[in-house]
Order: sequence, then C-alpha cells, then structure tokens
Amino acid sequence: MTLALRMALRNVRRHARRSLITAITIAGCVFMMLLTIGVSEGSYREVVNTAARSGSGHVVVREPGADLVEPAVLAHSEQAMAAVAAVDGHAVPRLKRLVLAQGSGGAATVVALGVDPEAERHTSVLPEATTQGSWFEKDGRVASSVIGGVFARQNGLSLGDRLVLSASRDGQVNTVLTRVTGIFEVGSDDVDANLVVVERPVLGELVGAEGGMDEIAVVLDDIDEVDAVARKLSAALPESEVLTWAQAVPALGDFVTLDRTGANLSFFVLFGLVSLAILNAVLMSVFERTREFGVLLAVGTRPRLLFTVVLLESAMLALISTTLGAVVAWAVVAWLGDVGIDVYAISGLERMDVGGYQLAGALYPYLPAERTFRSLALVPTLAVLAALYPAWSATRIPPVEAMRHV
Amino acid sequence: MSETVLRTQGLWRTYQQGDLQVHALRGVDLTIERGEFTVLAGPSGSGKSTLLNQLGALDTPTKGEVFVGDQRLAGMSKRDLADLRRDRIGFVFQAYNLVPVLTAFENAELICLLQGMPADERKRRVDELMDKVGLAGLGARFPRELSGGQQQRVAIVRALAPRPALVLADEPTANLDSETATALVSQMRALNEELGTTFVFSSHDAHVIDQAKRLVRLKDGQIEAEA
Ligand SMILES: Nc1ncnc2c1ncn2[C@@H]1O[C@H](COP(=O)(O)OP(=O)(O)OP(=O)(O)O)[C@@H](O)[C@H]1O
Ligand SMILES: [Mg+2]
Repeated sequence: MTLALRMALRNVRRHARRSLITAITIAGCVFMMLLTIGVSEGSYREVVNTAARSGSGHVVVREPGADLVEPAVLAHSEQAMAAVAAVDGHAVPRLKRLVLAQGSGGAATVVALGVDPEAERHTSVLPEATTQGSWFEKDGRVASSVIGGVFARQNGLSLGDRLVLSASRDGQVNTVLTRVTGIFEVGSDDVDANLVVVERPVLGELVGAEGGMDEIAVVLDDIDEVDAVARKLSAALPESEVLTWAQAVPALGDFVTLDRTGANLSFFVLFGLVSLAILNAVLMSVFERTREFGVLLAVGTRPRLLFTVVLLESAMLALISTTLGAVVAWAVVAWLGDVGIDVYAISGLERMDVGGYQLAGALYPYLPAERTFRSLALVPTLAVLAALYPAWSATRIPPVEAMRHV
Repeated sequence: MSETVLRTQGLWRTYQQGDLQVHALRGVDLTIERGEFTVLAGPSGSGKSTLLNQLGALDTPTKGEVFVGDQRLAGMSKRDLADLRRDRIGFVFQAYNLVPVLTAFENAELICLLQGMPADERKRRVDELMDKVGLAGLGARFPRELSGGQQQRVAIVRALAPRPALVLADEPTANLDSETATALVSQMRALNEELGTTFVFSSHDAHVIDQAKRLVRLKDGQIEAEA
C-alpha cells in the first residue's frame, strides 16, 4: 500500500467521529436521492406501461409519415411481425382510423381501432379495463364494438345499443353496423372519450384495408429495453418507421424528461450543499494538521504527497458513504418494489396523474441501472472537487510558520 | 583533513513587523565541518531558530548566502530545496515531530521511503538505529503511546536513517526533563562519534551545552563568541 493511501486511510479512521458525521450526511443524501429516483422511475414505469398498453405500445412500427390524418397500411407487415418476434417483443397488429360513430344519442368523430382480440388480451389495458360487458365474445350476426366509458356517457350508449361507424372507402361513404358489447374505463379521458374498438377485419372492410395493419404496437416486458429494441427494429426494418413511446406520445416523453431533469437539478443542489459540508470538514482537518504537514514539508516531503493524502481522504469518505447509502437505498427500494406503495392510501387523493396518465393503484419503485450509477458517480466527483482547495492549501503551508504553530 | 558541510556568508534575516524592522540575523558567517557536534546557544530572541531555518533551507535570507556542501541555495526552486532537505539534511524539531497516524517504525523509515529506498534496506537501517537509541521492540507503537523522550529518539532515528551529511535540531530537548534531555544528547553524541554524523543544534540547557564539542554563542543576531 502506498504511503499516501496508508496515511489517508488512517486519518479517516483516526477522526472516527468527524468521519462518521460527514459519512452519515453523505449517505443520508445518497439514500434520499436514490429513493426519489426509485419512486419517480417506478411512477414513470407505471404510466409509460399504461400509455403503451392503452396506446401504441412501447415501440411502434408503421409506414413512414403515416398518421391518423393520412393513414397508410404497413407495407412489409410480415417481415415486421417476424422482426418483432426476434427481439422478444409482443407484436400487436392494429388498424387505426378516424371514423364517424353514430349512436341513437348523437354522433362524433372517434379513433377506431381494429384489433385482433386475442393479441390484445395480454398486452393491452383495454381487455381488463372492460368493466361492463366483455372483450369480444363471439356471438354471431352483428359485429361487436367495445367503447370508452366517457364516450358512452356523452352519447347515451349502453351495452347492447347499436353503433354505426362510417368512413370513406374509394371516395364513397361506407358504413358498418355494430353492437356495443363492452365498455372500458382506462382512466385517461383521451382514451375513454375517443376510442372505439372493433375487430380488425371489420374495420378493414369499412376503410378498404382488408387483411392489412396500420401499425404494430410492440409491448415489452422491460421498459429499460425500449431504446435498444427500437434501435434493433430500425436496423431490421429500414423501410418502415420505428418510434419509441416517447416519440409516439411526445407529451409523456417530454414530461418524463423534464421531471428527470428537474430531479437531477435538485440533486445537484443537494450535493452542492453536501460539498460545502465536505469542504468545511476537510479544511478543518487540514488546519488541525498545520504543524504535522509543516514538519512533513520541512523534512523534504514533496507537496504533492500531501495534496494526494487530502484528496484521498475525501474520496474515501465519499466512496464509503456513497456505498453505504446506496446499499441501504437499494434494499429499501427493492423491498418497496416488491410490496408496492399504495399512493392512494397514503395521499388520500382520489386520482393521481403523472404526465396526463392516471396512476392505476400501487406504485412499484425500482432503480434503473444507468441513471442510478450516473447519479451515484456525482457524489465522489463532487467530494474530490470540494477537497481540491483544502488539498492545495495543505501544500502551501510554509514549514517555518507551521513549526511555530502548536 | 576537513570537509565543509555547511557555510554561511554575511547572512541577514530581517522581519518586517508593521513599521518595525526586526533584524533577527545580522551578518552571520559560520562554517560547519564534517563530524562537528555544535551547539548554538544564546538568550531567547538571539536568532538561534532563525539561523537553523536558514541552515536547513527552510527560509530564505534577506541578504547573504548559504551553501550546503558546495551547493548554493539562492535561486533554487521550492521543489529542489525540498529534495535537498530530504537527501542531505536530517531534522529534529522541538516537539510534535512525528506523524500521529504512522507507527514509530513507519515514522522512522519515512525519509528513506520518500527517497525510494528498498524496504529491506530501510528495515535494516531503522532497526539498527532503534537498537542504538534504546527503542528496540517499540516500532509498532504509535507516537501517542510513546513518552516525549522516546518520540524525540524516533525523530532522531528518522533524521539519521538516510545517513544525511548533517542533522539540524532546534531545541530537541526543550520539552524533556533534564535527565531525559541529558540522556538524549549523550545518545546524539554517541551517534556522532560512531557514525561521524555532523550535528548542529540549539539549546538553552546548561547540561546540554556542556556536552558540545563546539559552542557558538549568538546575541542579537550575531555570533558573539566561539568556544
Ligand atoms: N516570523 C517572525 N516574524 C517576526 N519576527 C520574528 C519572526 N520569527 C522570529 N522573529 C524575531 O526574530 C528574533 C529572533 O527569533 P528566534 O526565534 O530566532 O530566536 P531564538 O533565539 O530561537 O529564541 P528562543 O530561544 O526563544 O527560541 C526575535 O526577536 C523574534 O521576535
Ligand atoms: Mg528558538
């Protein structure tokens, strides 16, 4: 072990009480930081999954430039379905068109979703959110439609009512008669007021896209895989457009980015304050050792050794306490991630929205590796930066004056 | 045949205290030959510490020159001065010489370590000197577990282990009782005889001054008398 390391280590141990106080301060802040990250990432995951399962998946594959106003059937759909299977994503093919929906109580333009009911069952929130009626039970003569609760109330529709969908096909108005067999409540007004779901062949026939799909919603088990999967799919499907949820739902993507940035900024302020505490502790310890450092310089120690010792002391303190704080936080977050936090029971609120999406119920905090490590790296970095000045001042001690200082 | 290890020439050191100029040294010419055992004596404020700081390249003169061997100190960089102190001069101060977090042995081998000496050679030299000054078996203790006299002896071992041309000590016995002080100085004297190490140190203590081979008396920053 080098001399500098040995001296630094023993100095940290020797001033156990001061080291402990500094370490607990740092560890406490690290704990708070990771807990905050864990809870907010957990809430993002909940709403992103809700958004993905009620919208276009974590990643969506579609025709370049296609949207609701100018829809286009996906050209290489078989190749795309295979590519999604190859990256372990659940592929959910859909047609998605604007249609006029007309019931006995009124008419409105809605988004009609043409689905394969079985593909939706495990990947979409819609089947389980269908609280009245059921999710596409086969019963014969008339096509089924499953509609949002808000839309149903606004148009006075209930189970069994007729709903006529119209759209243009080859320049002419085409219609299809459906019967409402299910009503869902996803919790997002956007979805609940504007979405009508039918089986894909029904919508295909209405709009002239038989057998086709406008998009493949790709649902993933791990949302931290989103970017990697999107990259792989873009590479595999150069003629299609591949978007992540954050690109497909920019409002939510921007919300998450903004929220993360705000939190990171507050961590920076928090650790700026911690740095001041470190600066103070290290400066004090250098001042206390004026005579010791003076003697060392007098007998011919190069100033650089003292500089290294002081920096090492601070870095060690930061590393030990960061590790301590991180281990405790990791354990707590893992436990909370297991049992979940019932945000409604804790807050007493009736409804909590994150980025425009309602939190369904419990929240399961977790620590995504990349953000966690990046935030943790901040702590020792700042600690070393804070120790630069005291370390430098240790090298500036004039030995002769230090010797008069007892 | 004599060999000059240290020489000063017209050495002045003036401190500025507000509007007042304090002349701590006023034209000191001093030559130290190899193997000397010289005591600087003189009343408080006569300039003993100031002179030792000049001899040890710890402070720069206002006027005049210091030579260590034939090396002229004026104009040397801070780092070169530090290396010169490390390689050519041993220091023993009045008290609190040791690094509290290092053991007696680690303190004693410190300069050798800084010089890059191999571990076995350091151990050989330190063990031998520790034996000579009666510290055998105390190497693992930390400074706070040693008496004042033992701490000063560790400092002496630290200063001597690299076999410097010269050992400078500013009142090395001032914090010790007179019995311990006398014992310490006779040990230094024995090392001087046995190893030929040159010692220059200051003292107030009559018992210590008695053991000098050469006595230099300072008064008001000047050499008053030699004996
Ligand atoms: N840093 C300083 N600033 C101002 N004056 C100083 C300084 N150091 C020493 N002096 C003055 O220089 C003179 C010589 O001081 P020095 O410490 O060399 O005396 P000394 O012989 O070692 O005394 P003592 O026996 O008390 O240790 C004194 O008048 C002292 O006040
Ligand atoms: Mg003095």
